Amino acid sequence: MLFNSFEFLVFFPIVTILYFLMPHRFRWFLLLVASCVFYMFFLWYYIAILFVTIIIDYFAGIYIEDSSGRRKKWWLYGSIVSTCLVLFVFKYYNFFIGNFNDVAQLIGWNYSLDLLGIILPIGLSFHTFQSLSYVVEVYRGNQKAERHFGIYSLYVMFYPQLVAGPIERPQNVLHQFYEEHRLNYADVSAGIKLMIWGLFKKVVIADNIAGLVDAVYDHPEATSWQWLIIGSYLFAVQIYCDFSGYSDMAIGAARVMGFRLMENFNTPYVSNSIKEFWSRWHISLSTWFRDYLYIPLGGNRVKGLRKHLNLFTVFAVSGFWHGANWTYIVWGLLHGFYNVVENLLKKITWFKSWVETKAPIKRRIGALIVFQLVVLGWIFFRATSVGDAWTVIKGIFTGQLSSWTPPAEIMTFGYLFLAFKLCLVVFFILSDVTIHRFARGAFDHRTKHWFRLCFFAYLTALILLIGHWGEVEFIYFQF
Amino acid sequence: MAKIVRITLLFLLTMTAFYLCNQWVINSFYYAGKRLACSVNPQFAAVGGQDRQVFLDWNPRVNYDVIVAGSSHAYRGYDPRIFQSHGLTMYNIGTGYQNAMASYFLLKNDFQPAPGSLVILDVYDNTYSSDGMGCFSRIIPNSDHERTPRDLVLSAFDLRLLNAYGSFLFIDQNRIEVPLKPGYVFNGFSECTDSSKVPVDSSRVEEVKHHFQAGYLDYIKELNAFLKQRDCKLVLATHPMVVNPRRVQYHTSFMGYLSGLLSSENLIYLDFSEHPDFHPHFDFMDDDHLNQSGVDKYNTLLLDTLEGLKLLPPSSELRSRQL
Repeated sequence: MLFNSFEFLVFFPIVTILYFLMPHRFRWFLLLVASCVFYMFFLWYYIAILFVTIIIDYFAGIYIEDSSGRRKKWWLYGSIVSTCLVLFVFKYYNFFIGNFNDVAQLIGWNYSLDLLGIILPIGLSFHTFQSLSYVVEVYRGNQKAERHFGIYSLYVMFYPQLVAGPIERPQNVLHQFYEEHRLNYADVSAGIKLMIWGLFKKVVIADNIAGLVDAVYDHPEATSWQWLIIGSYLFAVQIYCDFSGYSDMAIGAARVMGFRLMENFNTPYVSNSIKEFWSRWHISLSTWFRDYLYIPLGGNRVKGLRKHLNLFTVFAVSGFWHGANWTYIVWGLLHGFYNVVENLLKKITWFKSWVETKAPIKRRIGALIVFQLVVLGWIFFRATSVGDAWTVIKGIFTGQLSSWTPPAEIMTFGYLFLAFKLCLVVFFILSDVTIHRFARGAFDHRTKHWFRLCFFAYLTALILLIGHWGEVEFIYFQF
Repeated sequence: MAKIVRITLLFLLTMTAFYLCNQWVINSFYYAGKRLACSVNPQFAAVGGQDRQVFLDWNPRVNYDVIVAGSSHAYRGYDPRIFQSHGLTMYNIGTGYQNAMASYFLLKNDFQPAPGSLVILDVYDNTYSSDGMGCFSRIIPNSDHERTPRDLVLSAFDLRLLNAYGSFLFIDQNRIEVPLKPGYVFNGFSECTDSSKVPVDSSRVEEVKHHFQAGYLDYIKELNAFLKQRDCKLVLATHPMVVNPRRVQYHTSFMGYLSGLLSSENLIYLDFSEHPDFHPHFDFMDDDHLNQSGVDKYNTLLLDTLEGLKLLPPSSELRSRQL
C-alpha cells in the first residue's frame, strides 16, 4: 500500500481508531495484522520472506543473549550472514551474475549463467538493516533480546516505517510497543501536520516534477545542456521531496498513535559541508553505517590512508545498498571522494573555519557549493547506466546541444503547465526550511491556532486538487 | 477526545472551503483560451474537440440503427457514411481511451439506443491496461449533464475523478477550449486520410507496461444486461491493427480473459486485429489507427460479416422507425 493512495486514506484512520479503542494488551496484535495487510498490498506472498528474516533474527537475538564468548560471536555472524543472504539473493544475485556474464563474454569465455526471474521484495534493504541493527545491539549488550515474538515481529514490520524507513534502532522503538499510548491531542496534531507536509512534498512537488526529470533523463543524448542542467537540479528537488516526504508521513503516522520515530531528514540542502550534508540526509541510514560499519572499521581512531580507505568503503557500500547497479556504486564512491577531500582540506585553517562558520552569508555560499557537488552525484543516482550519466555530464560541460526549448515530452502540455511546475519548485525552495520547522511545531508558540489550522487545511486542499494521485511510486521503494 | 473531534471538523470544513475556492479559481480563469485547471493537472481535461462534439451532434429524436462505442479506434474506425450506404443510420460515441465502464454509463445516460438497434463495442486491449483516467477525465467536462460524471466518480473510486467532477460544477461549457479537428465528419466520426505517419516501431510497444484492468472489462456484463432490457443487440469487435509480435502477445493474454466473458454472456466477438488484408502503410494512420482507406475496407468487411451473421437491423424496420 502506498501512503499516497486512496487505500491508505481509508486504512490509516481505521487502524488508528481501532488502535485507541482496543485494550492495550491487544494493540500489538492489531498493529501486526495491520502491518501485514499494508505489506501484502504489494505482493502478498513476499511476506513469507519477511518472516524468514524475522524468525532468524528473533532466535539469533535470544541465543546471542544466552551465550557468551566465541559461541555468542558465532550466533551473531550466523545471523548476519543468513539475513544478508536473503538480501543478496533477491537484490544482488542478478547483478553479480550479469557482471560475471559480461566479463565472460569479454574474455571470450562462452559460458553464461542464468539470471533469476524474481522481483525485489519492497523495502527489503530497509527491514534487513533494521533486523541487523537489532542483533548487533543485542550482541553489544545495549538491548535485551526481545522474547515476545509478536513484539519483535512488529519491530521489524511496524507499517509506517516498514518499506522505506526510517531505519530504527531497537533501543528507540521496542520499548514503545509496551507503553500504553493514550489518545492525545498534541500527538495527533503533530502527527497530522507532518503527514500533510510529507504528502504535499510527495504528491504536489515531487510527482509534479517527475515528468520533467523523466523527459530529460530518458533521452540525455538528445537533450540540450540547458535542460540537462535544469533536469538535474529538478531531480535534486524531486528525490528530496519524494524521500523526505515519505519519511515525514511515516514519522507522522506513527506519532498520531503516540510512537516517536527518529528524524530522517533535516533540510539537507542548507549544509555547509559534505559531512554536514550526511548528518542531515537520510539520517537513519547514515548513522546506521556510522555505528555498524565505520566505527567497527576503526572510525576516527585510525588516521591517514586507513581512515580515507574506510570512508571510501562505507560510501561504496552505502551506494551499493541503494541498488544493484554501477550507478549507485559510482555515486557512493563520489561521496566518499568528497568526504576524503573535505577531510584533507580541513587541514587548511581558512577552509576549516569556513566549514565551521556560523556567519549566515558564508554558510549560504558554502551551501551553494555543496549543493552543486551533491547535484553532480545525483546525476549518477538518476541515470539508468554509468554511460547515460556520462552522457549527461558530457552534455552539460561540452555544451554540444544548445537550446532553451524544452524537450518535446514537456511541451505536450504547454508553457503554462511548465511554468506552474517551476513555480511549485521555487515556492518549495523558498519555503522548505520554514515549513519544515513549522510542521515540527517550532513556531507554535508564536502563531495563532487558527492560522496553523488554515495553513495546513490549505495545504491539504492543494494536495487534493493538484497532487498526482496513484501514479508515481516512491523512489526509495525500489531499495 | 472532544477537542480532537471539534478541531477535525473545523479542519475539514476549512479545507473544503479552500478546496472549493481553488476549484473556482482554476476553472473560472482562462489563459490562452483554456482554463487554468488544464495547466495544473492532467486530470482536468479541456472542453471541446471530438469529446464535446459527440454530445452536441447527438439527436435524441433519431432512432439510430447502430451505435458504436469504444476508444479512438471507434471514433476513427467506424464511418457513418459507409453504414448509410448500407441503409443504416449509425452514431459513433467513441472517445479517447473509452473502456466498457464508460461506454456503459454513456449508453445508459446520454446516448440511449433505440429498441431493436445494434451496439458495437470496439474493444481495444490497450485501453484495458490504462487506469481509465485518460477516458473519464475527458468525458466529465464535456458531458451534457451530471449523471454520467457522477456515475463514473462513484464507480471508479478515484480521487482524481472527484477533482474532475468538482471542476464540472464550475465549468462554462459554452466556452470551447479545444477546437474541433478538421477531420471531423458527423455523428461522432473523425476521418483521417493520411497513410502511416509513424513507422511501426516494435520497441515502442515493448515499453508499454500492461496492467490489465479486468474491472473495467467486466462492465460488459452490465452493458449486455442493459441492452437486453432495451431489446438491443451487443456485438464486440476489435478493428485491424498493425501486427506486432509484442502486441499479439498481449492481445492473446487479453483474449484469455475476454473469452470467459464471451462464453458466460453468450456474446459475439469479431476479431479483426490480425486480419491479413490490411497493409501497415497504406491502411493505417499510425501504429494504432486506420486511415480512411483502411476504414472503408474495414467497415465494408464488418458490415458484410454482420449481414452474414444476420445481426444488422432489417432496412424495413429502419424505414418504419424513420416514419
